Formats: sequence, structure tokens, C-alpha cells
Amino acid sequence: MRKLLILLIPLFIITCNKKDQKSTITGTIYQAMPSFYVYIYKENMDLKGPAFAETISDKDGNFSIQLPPGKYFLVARMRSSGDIAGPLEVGDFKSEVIGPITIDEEGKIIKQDIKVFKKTGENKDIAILENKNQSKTGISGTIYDAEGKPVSGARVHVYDHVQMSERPKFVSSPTGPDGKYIIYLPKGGTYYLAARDKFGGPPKVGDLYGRYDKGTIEPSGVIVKDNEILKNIDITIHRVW
Amino acid sequence: MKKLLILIFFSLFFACGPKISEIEKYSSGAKKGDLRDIKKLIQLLEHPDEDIKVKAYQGLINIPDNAKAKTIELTINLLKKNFDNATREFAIGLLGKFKAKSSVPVLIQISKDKNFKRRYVVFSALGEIQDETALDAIIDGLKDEKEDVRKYASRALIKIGPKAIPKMMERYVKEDENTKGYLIRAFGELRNNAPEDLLINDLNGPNKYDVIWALGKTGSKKSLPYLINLLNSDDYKVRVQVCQALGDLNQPDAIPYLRKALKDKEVLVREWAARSLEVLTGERTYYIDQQGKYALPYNIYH
Repeated sequence: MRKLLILLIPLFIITCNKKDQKSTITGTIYQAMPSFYVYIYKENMDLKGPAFAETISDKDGNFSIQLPPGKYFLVARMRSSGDIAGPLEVGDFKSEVIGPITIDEEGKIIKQDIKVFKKTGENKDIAILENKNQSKTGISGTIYDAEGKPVSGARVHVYDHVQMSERPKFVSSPTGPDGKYIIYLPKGGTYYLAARDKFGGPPKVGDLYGRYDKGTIEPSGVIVKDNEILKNIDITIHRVW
Repeated sequence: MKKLLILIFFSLFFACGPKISEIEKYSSGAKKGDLRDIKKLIQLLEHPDEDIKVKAYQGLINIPDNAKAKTIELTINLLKKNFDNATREFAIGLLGKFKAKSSVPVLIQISKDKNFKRRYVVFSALGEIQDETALDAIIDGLKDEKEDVRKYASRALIKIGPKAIPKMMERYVKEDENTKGYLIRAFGELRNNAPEDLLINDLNGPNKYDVIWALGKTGSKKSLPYLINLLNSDDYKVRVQVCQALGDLNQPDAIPYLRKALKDKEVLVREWAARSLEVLTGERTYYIDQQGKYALPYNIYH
């Protein structure tokens, strides 16, 4: 009986640990430069939105990340600005989307090298930054800081769903010294707004961020009619604590 | 010349401030609970460069639980001697992060200091601390001259939760319309129908849009006939808000009225009627868009 218990206990420990075991994807980025971000997306995620997980490559381009079981897609990106998120500009580096890579329950190391190339051509943002379509529908206002001063360099992110997760539907150009913004929309509707000093990804501790709301936790929808430029939709941004 | 060089050297030395590696070293020590490193980071909250403050703050929020009491004490002492807006903002942000109940009296005192321009952070912190003794001060914050302060005070009430409702109802009847507006929205987010009679009484008042929204959120079945009646309002924003609230209320009795609203002259009303019908019936519902074509509303709840 005692021998049986001795045999069973390690087996129990191994079985319990197995549940939490993660597999590792490791590889090298061909364009051996440091600070490439490798973004991991789950199936059905927006491949240009916030990633499920991310890691940064070392000086030789090597990276490694532990992941729970599932199907994943990988993309490597390096922005010359050093930012972790935001639209890629001409001169930035990116890879093709790699995957799906399936990780089963057994902890193992999966080798996946990534080739990257330099983005050429024109800059294409995720949103309407200029009113190229001559839209007469939009939202305008001013971004202020905690002391009531206009904020330069902030962008307004426009979402069409109340959770304001994933990628914004539209993003404004950065504000100038007067803190003013205007964002044109293809049509009227109910929109949810946030302003921030950084582009993309969930706001982090220390970032400046603010949503348009009326003192609620849930953001307040902004109702815009077709052919209406809604004015004075001002947003104050504060530190994320 | 030699003296000048020495002067330049020392000026540059001090102007450079702490290196990032030094802050990382302090942060690493603070994470293990080293009081000397914690003190260094608290000192850096007074640094004029906000990026340094951010780094110091990030180091402080990772300290172990057994070091928090002393850190809170040191931070409160900092607040008593330093009146710089940014330093106070970071110190108060830290007290909120640590949910420091012992800091409530000093926070209430600072909430009334109009010279502190970043006083929104006091209400942000009080919302995190969730101490009922601060309720009156928080409701007073709804009357602050600064809009962001009023909004953070409102969010603080929401974060305190249902235990804030009796005090909010007591104060509601005594307050001006602007303050009532914040209380109404907070009632809505608290999703508790205790104040439904107060809200129904104000359905035609200056805060009507917020009252309609809040009645939907609080699940007030009693308000259903009043809301349905407002679908005849001349104000299209009232009709939009009612259609949204009827979806939130999720009462099948509203279905025929929402179907009627699909024929409203205003497209935004038709769109919200379709969206709420989908909530009530579970079926995708078309509405007639601006171009006169059948369209499905986009899902704002995904």
C-alpha cells in the first residue's frame, strides 16, 4: 500500500502540472536587428488590432514566447518610432502572417523563423485621417489635460461598439498645439470616443487616456446625424493609474 | 576658466537627473520590499520630469504587501509637505492604487483645495478606496467647477457600489439639476431600481435623456408605460433614447411599440428600434436606412 502511494503521488503531481504546461514558440527574425515585436494572435482575432500576446526579439533577432494550447498566428513588426502599436509607415519592417500554428497540450518547443521586409509605397492608416471623400458627417472638439490645457499630439479613436475593445474604426490625425481635432465619418450613427497620447494597444499605467463620457464607467455614445459635424465633443485625458 | 568648467560639469551632472538604470535598480529593490529603495522612488515622485515620475510610480506599484503600510505613510507625509500639482497627482494616484483607507481624511481635505488643479485624481483614488465615509465629499465633488473632477466623482460613486445608493438618494432631492444629472447617470450604472420613483418623477425634466437611459439600465419595469409614451415625443433624441432603453429593459411588452418605431421618420430612431428588437426577439431586424434601403444595424454590443 505504501509503495503504491509513493508511486501514485509523483504521478498525481505530474498529471496536475501538465494542465498548466505551456509550449514555447521560438525562432529567429531574418533581418537581425533588435527590438522586433512578435505579435501573437488567436484564431478569428483582428490581425491589426491588439494581440493576444507579444514579445520582443533580442539583439540577434531571437525570440521566444510561452503559450497555452491553441491555434495561433504570428506577425513580426518593427516601427522606426519604436512604438509597440500603431499603423506601419513607409520604412518600418513587417513579416507576412504566419500560421496557424497549433499548440497541443504537451509542453514542447516549436521552431518558427520569420522573414521580414521593409514597408514601401504609400502610408495607409487604419482610418480616415483626411477628408478625402468630402464627407459632411463628423465630430470635432478639443483635447484637454488634467489642468485644462489643450493637448498637442493626442489622437481621437472612434469605435462603433460600446466595449471600445479591438481596433478603433477611425482615428484622427494628431492634435496641434490648440488641442483641436476633427474626424470625418462615412455616415451618421452612434459612436464611442477615446483620446490618448499613444497609438494602439490597451492603455498602460502612466499613459494619458480619456474617454468621452458623462461621468459613467460605460462610455457615452455620441449620436451624429448624416451630414452633421457635431461640435464641442471635448475630451480630457488623464494618467492611467 | 577652470572654475567655469567645474561649474559646467556639476550643472550637467545635476541636470541629467537619475539614469533609467538607477530607477530600475530602485524598482528592483522596492519589489523585494527594500525600504531604502522605496524611499528613493518616493523622492523621485518629486522630480520635475514627468517621465521620471512615471517610472518611479511604476516601480512603486509593484512593492510587496508587507511594505505597503510604510509606503502609504511616507506618501501621505509627502502630500503634507509638497504642493506641486504633478507630485501630488502621482502621490494620490499611488494611494488609490494601494486602496489606502488611512489616506481618506487627507484626500477629503485635498479635494476642497481649488489650487490643486489635478484634483480629479482625488476622486479617482476615493473610487478605488471605496470608503463610505467619503460619500458626502464625493457628492460635493459632483458640484466642482471642473468637469473632469465632477466626472471622476461620479465614477467614484459607481465604484463604491450599491452601498452608496441611500446617501445618493438622500442628497438627490436637495441638489441642483446639474448635480442631479451626475447622480442619475450613476444610478443607471449601479443598475439598482431603488431610485426608480425619483427617476420617473424627473422623466420630463432637464435631465430627461439621462433619466430615460438610467431607467433602462436599472431595469425599472414600472417605467415601461412612461417610456412607451415618450415614443410620441417631438424630440427625436428622446425617441432614440427610449428605443435604446427598451432594449436594456428587455420586456416583451415593448416589442409592438418598437416595431411601430421602425417606421419613425428619423433614421436613428429606426436603427435603434431594430437594434433593441434584436435584443428582445433574438432575431436580426432590418430597418430602412437614409437611402431608403433595408439595412441591418451594426452591433454595438459585440
